[in-house]
Amino acid sequence: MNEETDRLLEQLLEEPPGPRREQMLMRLDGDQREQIRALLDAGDLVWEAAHTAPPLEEDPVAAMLGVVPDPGFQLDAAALVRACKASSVKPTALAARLSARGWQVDTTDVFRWQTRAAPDVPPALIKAIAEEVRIDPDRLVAKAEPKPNTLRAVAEDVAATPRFRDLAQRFAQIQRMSPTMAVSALQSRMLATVHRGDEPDKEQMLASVEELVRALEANQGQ
Amino acid sequence: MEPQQQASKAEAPSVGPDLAAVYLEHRETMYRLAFGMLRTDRHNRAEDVIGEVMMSMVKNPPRQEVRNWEAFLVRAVQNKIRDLWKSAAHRHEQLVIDEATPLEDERHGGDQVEDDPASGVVELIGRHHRVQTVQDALVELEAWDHQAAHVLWQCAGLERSSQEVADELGVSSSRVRQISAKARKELIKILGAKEVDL
Repeated sequence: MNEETDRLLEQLLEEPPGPRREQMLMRLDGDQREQIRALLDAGDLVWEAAHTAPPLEEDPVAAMLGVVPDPGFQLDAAALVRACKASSVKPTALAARLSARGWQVDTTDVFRWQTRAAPDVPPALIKAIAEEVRIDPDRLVAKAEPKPNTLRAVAEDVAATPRFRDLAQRFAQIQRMSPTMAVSALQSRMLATVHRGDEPDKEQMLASVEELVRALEANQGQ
Repeated sequence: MEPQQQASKAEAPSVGPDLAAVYLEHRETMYRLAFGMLRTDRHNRAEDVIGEVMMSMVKNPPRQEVRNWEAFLVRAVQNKIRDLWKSAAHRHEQLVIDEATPLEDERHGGDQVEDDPASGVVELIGRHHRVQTVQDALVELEAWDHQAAHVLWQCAGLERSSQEVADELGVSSSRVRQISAKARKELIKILGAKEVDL
């Protein structure tokens, strides 16, 4: 390869896919072009491998939908047993109904939830369980002590403010969920959003929640 | 109060799958698609787009049965990104979640989104399988030459400039480009052994 080709290759390796890269490739002869294209394709696959969904606990959309398990909103085994009994829903039936709603749940999961703490059950699934056993979701929840965490502590400070409570109330109405679940979802979202950048302070967290609620309200109003 | 007495307060069971459950199952596909489409887009972020798509579906759930949720969500993300590209907002200002325009009911909220799995989704899923093979291949590359694998990941995976990586490693930027090219060639060999042709 001559100097010009070397320079072109160097530029190509840093050029993302698109018309510009294609134009640069066209300046190479056929054999070279195919060799370089294979190198670029390999790089593109590495790029794709590096760009996957964020971990669940850092995914703001998952937090908004209530699919991030929340230590402050855990399924209460005893309450679930009582609710299943009262509504005459057997574990096999509950598992089947939840599966029909799209949850990856089998009967052994339900037995497990009925016998010990289930920190892996997210709020949205608790809501689905509650609907199937015909009980208010808040009555299925055991308050658990979250692990000490500075960020969580800030989020909890935020959650204790009247402004946050008002926002949670509005969020609950929009999302048709209980106020407790709304608080949990918004707290998870605040924590998930933090992973996207610098740690925000209390005011920034509140502002972010307010923006979300306003956007949802505006959306609803249309 | 006994649980049964609360029954009247609880919501009636919904019809069809829960969107939260559907999202949990297909979020990986949605993110990969959004990242891929937005690769050279400096204005829009994958999580914002996906958030808007899901918010829209929560507000306007599909009115007809969805035969293939993965295909449905893929199409919704594609439509949303294409709409953003067409919008004036995309040309003039950065999209943030509070500025998100509501999605058109017909297109994103639901039932008009085509859910034909043949429409590019099969190709997308095939691509995902290849990427999983690449992830395995990268482990082998790491064992072959740790520095080469690191450089490739930084330059091609995270799109850092060769100069940035060079400064970090204390070598010249042309050396970084050489290492990156060497790593790509080895990766092609490893992928070839796994029957992935480029």
